[in-house]
Amino acid sequence: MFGSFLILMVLLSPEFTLGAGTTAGTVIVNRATVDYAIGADSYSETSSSTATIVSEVLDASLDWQDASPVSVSAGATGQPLTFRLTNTGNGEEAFRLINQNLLGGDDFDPAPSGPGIYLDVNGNDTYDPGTDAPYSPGVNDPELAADASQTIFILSDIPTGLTVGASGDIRLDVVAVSGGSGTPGLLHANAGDGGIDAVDGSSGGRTDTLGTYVVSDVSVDLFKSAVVTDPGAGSQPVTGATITYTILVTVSGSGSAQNLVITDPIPTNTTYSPTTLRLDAIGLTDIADGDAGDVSVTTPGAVTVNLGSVAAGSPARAIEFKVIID
Amino acid sequence: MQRLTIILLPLLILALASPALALAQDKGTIELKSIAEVEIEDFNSEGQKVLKRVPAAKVVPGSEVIYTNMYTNVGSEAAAKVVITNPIPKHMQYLPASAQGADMAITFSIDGGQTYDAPDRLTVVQADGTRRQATPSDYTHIRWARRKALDAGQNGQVSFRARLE
Repeated sequence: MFGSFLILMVLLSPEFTLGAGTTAGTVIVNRATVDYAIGADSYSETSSSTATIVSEVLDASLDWQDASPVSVSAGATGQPLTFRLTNTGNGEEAFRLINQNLLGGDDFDPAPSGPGIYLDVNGNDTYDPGTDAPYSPGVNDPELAADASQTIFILSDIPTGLTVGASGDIRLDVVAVSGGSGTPGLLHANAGDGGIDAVDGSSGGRTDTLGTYVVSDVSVDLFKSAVVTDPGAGSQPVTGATITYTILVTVSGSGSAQNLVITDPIPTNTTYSPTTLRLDAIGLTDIADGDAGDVSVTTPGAVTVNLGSVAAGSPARAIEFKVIID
Repeated sequence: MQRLTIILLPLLILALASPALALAQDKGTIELKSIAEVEIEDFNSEGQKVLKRVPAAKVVPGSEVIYTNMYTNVGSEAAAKVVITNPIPKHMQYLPASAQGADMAITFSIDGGQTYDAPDRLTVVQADGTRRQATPSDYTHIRWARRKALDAGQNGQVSFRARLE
């Protein structure tokens, strides 16, 4: 515990050289010495030192995190696109965010839902209503240390009356508050960390990335079946009998179902039989970990399986678990 | 005011306690001055593009800085065995073949200034035990050893270039 704290301290040291180069504000000192002899005597002199200050370089990179156009239905509200902003400069910098939703070259303009931009507060890269913070320019511009990242969501309302397959683009613009002219090398005197100079880096201190919605008529069907095995090898639902539940998940239509999470409560008067949760005949642990499912963790008293993004027309997914009748 | 007294007192004691040090500085006759510069593009009176050197007050990662050490013998006797040593500043990487100095034998250190040698004789032990040729990023110090005496009133300069990480 103590050791990891010390390592963190080293990483936070202002002298640390980052991927983006030497940290803004670092003072580079040079000093030389001369040794010589006059007659039998030796002498040593040191020069006065030179001091050079490292200016703040303003750079940013932005990635659209959704692997493919996000499926929405016409008239849907609050549909998130996910972006990730990284400060690739060498200092601490705040970034202004702009939702450009009125773009040409697409079929419809997604409308900002509420303020339109939200910041991922809890760092789980998933939009959580009520938790993730609405963004207000100049009020909560994300302030990022060099190499640090922030996940950003754009929430849009989809117009009504669209046909399946119509696509709508959003461009997220990101501009370094200390500069961000778009011209690499442009100097912003005294605008950087602690009043040092800021210089727009190779990105010009700004960047932008497109994200896309596509209208689909995706639908999800669940089919649940149960098989009872009683202690006498029969199929009577008596105390001590085992019920094996199977939920078949089928996605049809066009596009894909995003963030598809199946939650199924353990029936009353039964007890979940440990380590019986399976997805497509492969065992999942009961705890919340790297696999897709857990029991009574994400939702108490229920089985939860996160299928992620499932494309329409892909093979049905099978969730299976067993309970014992009390 | 009180704080000033507290700071000054140890300095005074230090000065009094080391008369030898004070004496050596009095007797020295070579003055050494270091400057740091960067080159910027400029135009001369004929409108031609030229490189102009300006003080390196502010730089960005990737900038090339020229360090120059100017030395002058201000005494009345010749100085022998003149050796100038310059640790490569932290966060800076020496640029290959950039060290210069007339009448100087130039060597480099890769061990923090303990030993010096010519670039082609410097090797680094790798993780697997084998040796590889040292690269400029391994260099920690540069040393210029003057091949002849520095007469009274004579001066010279040595320089090198480095890039900010």
